Amino acid sequence: MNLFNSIMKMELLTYRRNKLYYFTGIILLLYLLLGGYHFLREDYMEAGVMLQGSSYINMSAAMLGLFSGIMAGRRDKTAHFQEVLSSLPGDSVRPHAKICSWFIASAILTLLGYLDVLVLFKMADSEYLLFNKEILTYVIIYWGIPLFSCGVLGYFLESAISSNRLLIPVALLLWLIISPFNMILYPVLPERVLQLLNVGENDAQAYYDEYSGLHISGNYIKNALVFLLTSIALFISEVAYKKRDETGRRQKYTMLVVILLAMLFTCLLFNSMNWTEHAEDSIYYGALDNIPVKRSGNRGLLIESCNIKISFTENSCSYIAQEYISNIYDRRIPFTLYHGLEVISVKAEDKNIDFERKGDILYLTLPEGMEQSLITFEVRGSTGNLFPIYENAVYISSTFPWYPVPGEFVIAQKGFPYGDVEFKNLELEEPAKFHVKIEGNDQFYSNLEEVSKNEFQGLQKGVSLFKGMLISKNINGIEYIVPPDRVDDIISKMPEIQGKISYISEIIERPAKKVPEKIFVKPEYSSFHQYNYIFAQDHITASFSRYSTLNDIKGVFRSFYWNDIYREADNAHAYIFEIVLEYMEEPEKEYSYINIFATENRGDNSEFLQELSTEIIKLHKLNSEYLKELLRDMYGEIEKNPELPLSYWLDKIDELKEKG
Amino acid sequence: MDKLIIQSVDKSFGRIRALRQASLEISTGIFGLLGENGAGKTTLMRIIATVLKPDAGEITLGDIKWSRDSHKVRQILGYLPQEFGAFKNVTAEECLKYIAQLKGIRGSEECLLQTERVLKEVNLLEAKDRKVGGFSGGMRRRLGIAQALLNDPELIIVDEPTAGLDPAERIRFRNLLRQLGKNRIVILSTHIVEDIEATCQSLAVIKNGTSVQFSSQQELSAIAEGKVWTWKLSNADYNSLGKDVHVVSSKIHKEYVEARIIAGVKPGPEAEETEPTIEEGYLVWNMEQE
Repeated sequence: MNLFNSIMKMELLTYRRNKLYYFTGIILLLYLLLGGYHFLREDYMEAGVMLQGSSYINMSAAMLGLFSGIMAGRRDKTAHFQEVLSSLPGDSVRPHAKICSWFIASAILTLLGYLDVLVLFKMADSEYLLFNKEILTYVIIYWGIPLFSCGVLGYFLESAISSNRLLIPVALLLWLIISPFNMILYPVLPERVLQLLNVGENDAQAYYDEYSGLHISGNYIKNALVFLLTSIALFISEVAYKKRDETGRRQKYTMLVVILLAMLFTCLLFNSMNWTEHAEDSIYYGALDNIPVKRSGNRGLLIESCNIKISFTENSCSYIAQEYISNIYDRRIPFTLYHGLEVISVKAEDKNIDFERKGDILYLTLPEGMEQSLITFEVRGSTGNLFPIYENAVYISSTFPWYPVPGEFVIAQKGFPYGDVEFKNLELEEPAKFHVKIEGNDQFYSNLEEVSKNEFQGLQKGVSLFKGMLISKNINGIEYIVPPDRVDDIISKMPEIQGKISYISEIIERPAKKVPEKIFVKPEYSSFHQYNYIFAQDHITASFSRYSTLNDIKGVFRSFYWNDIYREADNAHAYIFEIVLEYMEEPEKEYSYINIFATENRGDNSEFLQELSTEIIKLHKLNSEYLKELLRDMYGEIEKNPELPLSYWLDKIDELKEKG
Repeated sequence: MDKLIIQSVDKSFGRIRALRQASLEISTGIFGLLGENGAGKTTLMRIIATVLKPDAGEITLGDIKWSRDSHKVRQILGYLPQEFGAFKNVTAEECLKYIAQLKGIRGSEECLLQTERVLKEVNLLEAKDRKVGGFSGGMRRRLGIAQALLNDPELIIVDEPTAGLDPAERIRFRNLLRQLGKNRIVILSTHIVEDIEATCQSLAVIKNGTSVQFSSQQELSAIAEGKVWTWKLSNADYNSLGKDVHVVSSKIHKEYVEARIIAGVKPGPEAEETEPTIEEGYLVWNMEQE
């Protein structure tokens, strides 16, 4: 141990006295300062983007590591010191001591990088500082581990390859193979292998999702550990081989055990990595072309209370939901539950009962004579790709039947006119007493009131759950659950959104919807095709990224005046409202949908759309007030008669034209 | 003190047989190992220093066996290789402290004591805080011997220590070596005969991997007895000497050249038989081997 410590101390002394590492620290600081200047602006802070976009630091760390390892391997030789050292005690532990000292040097450089980032964020007053643990994890995974592991690999290469002419090109090739840009080697190497070898971000240019935040979930950590263990196994194998004549039996066995353990852990980690793709809802709902829009609804079934105990894994959830149901009208009653969630068992008053699943509908067969009952559902599964569950991010909306909703409803249908899946609002018609308890330590948020950590309750029409890189802020009585540094941006957008709401309410002569006192951000990957909001009775969820078009009147209409409740009417009507509203805002706009459809065939029902658009334009030219009247009248007609066909729009236009 | 016994040591590098059954018995004092470049001296030195393992044969010192007790050997050994250097950015004192720790000297005070002692012995105490990168060749070589002296080793191996040194440094080094041989075994490997002449009590010659031991310098020089001649020639006569005349050395005087020649018979009428040197003994031995 003394020998080991002595060698380590000397190695660390050589690092301390090597100007290269000070130079590296300065370059790192300068690069981060540049990043800070670009991304940490007062008007728009992009702390997460700055970190995720640090692929060059990752690549530089790998390069520095490789060449530091090579230099460490040949340091004694270069100094003509190796011969003497080989004749002294401690020669067999020297490689290990060198690697340990490199570990310390890497740790110091990594810590320096981490502190630089923290200081920059502090100077910019970024709320991202609240996630300092996540930042540290990110810095370790993407900077520290590549730096250290590449140092180990560099040492291995130096030991294994004696020719300089071969060593440098091999080192450079290896650096490319492990970089975020290694896809240029496809298809020479398979894509999956390239992904695994990449020690940086999967996609150096990837868009940063502020909701889910940094890529630091289990798979990424496992990827980094696989790389680390592989480099250590290679190093130990090489040392064992080179020193085979000198090492005693005990040492040989120890090294063999370490190598085998490293390989075993590598295989286990590799096996446990799960990059499951979530089920494609558009395929499922697109195949259900002929489902009747009208469903039987809930026929008076009520949830009085709902207790849910839920836990989340990497890609799925499992829960037990106890629902107290009243107004039971029949032995066989339907519930609506997203088809990706499997029902394991159902009990009525603690007795197992039969159930049948048909797609999104769950039929229960209750005992005779029950008018109300406590029904316990045991469920597990996936919540689909609109509300996917990830290890580091969860978003499920109260408008989505992730717990059994009494009644028979349509969850989603094929959208108009392009066939995108469109989800309906399945919040309860009447509020219920909800109590939700989430297992685990990760911080969740909900529209319900938090009574203790990850325990929520309230009287609402549904439950939304959120987990991600989010913070909670209360400003002027409104609660915002948002990514860091975004609240001011969101607040600044609210007046414009309220303005659009008021504008629509005037046209269709309905009360202006009030923006609720809870505003949540949802992830980009959960955007409701091009629409950015979900409006629930007590909260709204929106994609508040820099590039989301929150003031798009189409999105405002769809969220606040169509999907505000469950509507049996075809969503195609909603689409027409949207494009007409868009046209009314700027009739001369070349790229409004009405102007495009009037001249081009696009999507399904292109003939109808072309005809409709042409008539809309004519009506507007006749009298612009007629469009308001059209929308107002149609809104009322559709409310009364959800089965109104699309052609009624043309009839209504003709009516208004005749009036003119 | 026990003798160092080298018994039938073989070593090959691929097809090249560097050592063939090399055998030596070395007692306390300075032992010279003489041979031309590529003879196998450095290979043997490295094997004794435990840097290399022999393919066959054994080395013993008392009850220490090289094949079994290499860790013990390293604790009693001081080794100065042909090319010695240290990390450029460390000071002489730091370098020696490091080696002292590796040699098992415990405690910072003991380390400091030993470090200063050896630095004083090699006359480098004043330069202890200077970085090794700033040392001259001679200073580096002295630092090399200093590290070899740490922990008072029983066995010191010095490989070509004066190569590349200027005359003054070389003399200084030889004087130092002479002091070292009093209570320990010192093996000096060199192709410079003057180093052997100046310092060694006994010696061996190594050629093509095979060693031949001589109990004294005189035993080696005696090989050339009756074959060494001094001849005073005019410049013109000297310059017209044929290539077959083996001139070992020549001294140029104002009007003549005094040449020392190796020849089986008297090379010329004015030639006089003279007492051979070790170098001449070595040369004759070498010629006879060929």
